[in-house]
Amino acid sequence: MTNNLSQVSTLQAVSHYCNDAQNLALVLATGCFLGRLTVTHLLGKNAADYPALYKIDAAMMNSFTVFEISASLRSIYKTGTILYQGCTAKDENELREVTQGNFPRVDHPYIGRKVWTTYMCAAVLFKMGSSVISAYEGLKRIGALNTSLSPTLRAFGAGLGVLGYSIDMFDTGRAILDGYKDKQDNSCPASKRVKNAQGKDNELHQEHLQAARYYTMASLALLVGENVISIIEILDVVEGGSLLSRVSSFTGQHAEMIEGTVVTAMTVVALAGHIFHGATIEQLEHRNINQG
Amino acid sequence: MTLVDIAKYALKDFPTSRECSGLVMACATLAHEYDIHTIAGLTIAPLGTLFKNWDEFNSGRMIFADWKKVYITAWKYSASKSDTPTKEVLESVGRAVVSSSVALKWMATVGGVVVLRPHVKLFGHIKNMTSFCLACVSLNDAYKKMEEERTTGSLKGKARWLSTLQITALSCSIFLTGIGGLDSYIGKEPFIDRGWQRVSPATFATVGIFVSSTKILKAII
Repeated sequence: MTNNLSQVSTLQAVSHYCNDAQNLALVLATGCFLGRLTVTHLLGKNAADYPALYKIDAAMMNSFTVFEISASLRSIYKTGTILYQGCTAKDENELREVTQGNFPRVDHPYIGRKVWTTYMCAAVLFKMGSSVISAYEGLKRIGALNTSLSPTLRAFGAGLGVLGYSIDMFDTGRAILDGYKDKQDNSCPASKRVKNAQGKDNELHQEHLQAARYYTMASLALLVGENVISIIEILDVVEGGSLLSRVSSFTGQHAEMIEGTVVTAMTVVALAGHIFHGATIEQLEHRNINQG
Repeated sequence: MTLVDIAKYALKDFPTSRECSGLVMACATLAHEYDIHTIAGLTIAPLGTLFKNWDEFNSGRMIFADWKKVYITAWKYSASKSDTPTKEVLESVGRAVVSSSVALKWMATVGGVVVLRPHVKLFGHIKNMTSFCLACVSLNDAYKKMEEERTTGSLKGKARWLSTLQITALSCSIFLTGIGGLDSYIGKEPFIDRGWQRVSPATFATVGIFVSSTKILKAII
């Protein structure tokens, strides 16, 4: 990466990452999981003697209920925006400009305006369905609702999440390939997001944006994995000697460990992505991190 | 203010904002006061608790950013030829104290950190006192700004509305943190002993709803 004053230092990037409520909740949940492991396996003590490790974890789970409610509502706005942009733009060139590079390149052989608009809306709606079901379960957990959803419906919700995040993964892969072609052509519509754009800043932005997409891809893969684990856990197929039943039985036995590991991996990937690229992208687009 | 702006605020920013949690908490308290426990199958009390805990977490998470701001402001203040006023330094310290006390209170109550448990009330009082002082300073600034705008003749239309809403919200916040804080500091007993009447929780909840609504209106405008 080019050495540039716009690049954000590690400490500032970590502080900026933790300023976001959702990121902080993820970090605290990971901290609690790792804390429990340390107490049990390294110190050889009983984790139950440290109630804070469980209580903070439970509080973070409850915070995620608020995030799910918020995500469901935000999806409505996002769907509206995608549809509006997809329907009102004159042609593909304009749509690529309006979406600041989120839309595929015009020379893309398969993905045109209709296909992109359809699959992006589908992804948002799938994730919205998944969030609504998660929010419902969260409200049931805290006692605001009395009836629980059936396991089939909960598994369906997690399935919607798998579909939504898989589409996002596909689109990120497409953006990575387009990013290389953009670099060859020396054209990057996303550079419009850069404030006080100087030539070098645009170049830095493009480099970081392309590299950050790999971290996004990894985070999305982990989210898909988490939802798949949830489906297996909810369906609880333990009868018979099939592979699914063995996997289900294993997941059931080690649910806490598996989920904790996935959450830890998600935190590490997201934090690393923000430290190495995300914070600098934010800094270039908003100029708000290095100024304190 | 267009429909798109309203939709953007309502769907994107509002759900995780402090206005939303404040509104839900105040509505839950008011519903409890009027013996309404369920609305459309939704039990209100746990929802109020959820948003109360979330609000404390959301406010307390600013602890690092606020102390960082104190450091930057103090650094600017101590620089030679500095034009940073002392008030700015004190305000940033006040904000950091508020977020720290909220964070410590959250860790003691929701987080279950046993060492902090005996000091929960103290954290609450510090938070209320500091918030009260900060609200008074902000109210003074808002009045000054309005006076300046009136003198220059720019206090028209949107600017007038914004100033009015700002002053209304701050006045109500002063009532909530001042009278509410004093009420929680004194406690029930002295009132019962002397036969005095306390400000009812319904009044605090109504003012809370009013504050949140004013802030929402200000954000939309």
